[in-house]
Amino acid sequence: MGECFEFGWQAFDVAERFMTPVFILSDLDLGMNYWTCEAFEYPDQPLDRGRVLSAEEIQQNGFARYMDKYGDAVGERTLPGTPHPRAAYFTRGTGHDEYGNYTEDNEKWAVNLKRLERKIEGTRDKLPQPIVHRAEGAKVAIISYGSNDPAIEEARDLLAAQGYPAEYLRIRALPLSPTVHDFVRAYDHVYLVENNRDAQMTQILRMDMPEYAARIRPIHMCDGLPLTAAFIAEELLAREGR
Amino acid sequence: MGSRNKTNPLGLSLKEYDGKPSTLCVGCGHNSISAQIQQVIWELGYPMHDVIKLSGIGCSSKTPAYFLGGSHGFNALHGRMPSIATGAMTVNRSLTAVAVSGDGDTGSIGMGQFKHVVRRNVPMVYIVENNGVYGLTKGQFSATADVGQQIKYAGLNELPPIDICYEALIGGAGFVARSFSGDKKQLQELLKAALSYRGLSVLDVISPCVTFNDHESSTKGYEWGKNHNDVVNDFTFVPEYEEVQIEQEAGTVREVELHNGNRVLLKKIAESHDPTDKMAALHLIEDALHRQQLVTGLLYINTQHKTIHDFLHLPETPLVHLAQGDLRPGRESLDKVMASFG
Ligand SMILES: Cc1ncc(C[n+]2csc(CCOP(=O)(O)OP(=O)(O)O)c2C)c(N)n1
Ligand code: SF4
Ligand SMILES: [Mg+2]
Repeated sequence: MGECFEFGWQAFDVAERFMTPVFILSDLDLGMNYWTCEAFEYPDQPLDRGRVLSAEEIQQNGFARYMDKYGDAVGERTLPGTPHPRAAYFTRGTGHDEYGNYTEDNEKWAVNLKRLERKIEGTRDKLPQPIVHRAEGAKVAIISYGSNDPAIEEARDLLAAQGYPAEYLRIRALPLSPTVHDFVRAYDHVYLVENNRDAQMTQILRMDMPEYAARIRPIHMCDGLPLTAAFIAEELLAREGR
Repeated sequence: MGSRNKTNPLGLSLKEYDGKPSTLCVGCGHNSISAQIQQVIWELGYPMHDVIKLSGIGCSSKTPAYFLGGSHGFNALHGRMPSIATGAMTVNRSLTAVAVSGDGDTGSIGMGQFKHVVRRNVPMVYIVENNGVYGLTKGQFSATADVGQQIKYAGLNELPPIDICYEALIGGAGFVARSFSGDKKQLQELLKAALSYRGLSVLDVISPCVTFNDHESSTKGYEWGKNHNDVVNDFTFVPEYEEVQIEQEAGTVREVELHNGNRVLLKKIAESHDPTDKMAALHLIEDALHRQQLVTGLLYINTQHKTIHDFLHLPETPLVHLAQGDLRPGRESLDKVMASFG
């Protein structure tokens, strides 16, 4: 629950820092029912407006809305009302050059798309990072996300009692952090537990690291209810040949 | 144009308010509307950096690129410009918003957004360049096409039209006008008043699409506009600093004061229409539809409406200029909320 609150304010920082839309996925079960949780914590960071140029900065260094000037593939922007003749730009739905001017030049189009790819890639270690729970003498590894968390924690207790201590990584953002990739590499195989019909997160992770695709084993189901610890533990043990 | 050499109150020429060259068809009504917007903003001496241009998708929505090159512009998703405008005008109330949309962008896909931006009364000039078709996607009928309209490729339209002014009035708009892209003078005066109006002003401007919908019997064409234009009032915008002599016309001239000291003078023509009477305005539109006339002029004005800035209790200082400490509620506020759950 606390994360819903934190992600709320962090999302604006990420959106402005990387100049990209951010989607927050929550769970109706959290919003519609009463839950006990720790008190929400006050933001520990100031608001991050990202790279917004003032009239003085434009005067000194110029302004190129979509240019990779800083090496991180993130552009720079200006706000309406900035009193400088070069401050204005047009946010358009068509092809544009690095200054935001209309163009049908295919090379410029490609350069911009490549920049966007680098920009999104560059966010992997800057978004909320996964939480890893270690376990002494772990035999299995679980990856999951969101409100599956309590069921997984309970399943880990059940598994430990059966002699199968499980390490657990909880994903908190897409694109996936390098920590997720390292986690997969460290095990012979991992179970990706999700509450859906099509195992979409498994597919995303497999696309990220196709050479490890076979190691990522989905445990998933969707019947309209939250996952249960019993289902997760039983399914996992069955796959382990128990 | 003589005014090309003249300068405005900021000492700038009209040319300095140019955008990029238009890529629309020659003769498209939208081009004349762009020219009038540029002319009026220049004449009134708005600094370009304090104006924002907003639009959705369509030939009409492309036009903000063709005027006021020194203003920020935003092509929103099709029909979603009102959301962008709401955000922009909430965070910076000192801006002047000029929004250009089409009959498809507003009347079809964007109707929900339109109704809500009107209801919220976001201060902006909302221009619908109305040609009865989706020009950009090659001339399909839009929701404002009249019954019985026939076009070559799209065939016969049998669905009843949506009237933008009607929707605006019912939605609670406080400034509703209709004009014709061929009537420069009227359009300029209406634009000037709309810019001075505190709140959202809707200008439904019939703007012929010469490529797909300008045949003789098109109710959104040049011929029709010229021959069926039923002007309800002779409309003059009077800036705060200008003295006007209205005595000799007393009785026929009505003065409406806008919030910043500017005024509009309305001279009634023929049958009298009282533009402060909402029911009369609705009646006028309905009647014109039956008579197959294009009523133009200021159909309705109410200067007392609250705006989104009032509804949200925004401070006079634009949110964008507030320091972080003023913007983010303090630690105590969160503690208080948390304690209320304890
Ligand atoms: C979400 C979405 N749906 C459909 C389209 C296709 N489309 C582009 S412009 C347009 C209609 C534009 O008509 P109008 O607003 O009347 O503008 P005009 O070109 O006539 O000036 C449509 C349907 C789109 N761009 N996006
Ligand atoms: S297709 Fe029609 S609306 Fe579009 S630019 Fe040409 S004349 Fe104007
Ligand atoms: Mg149209």
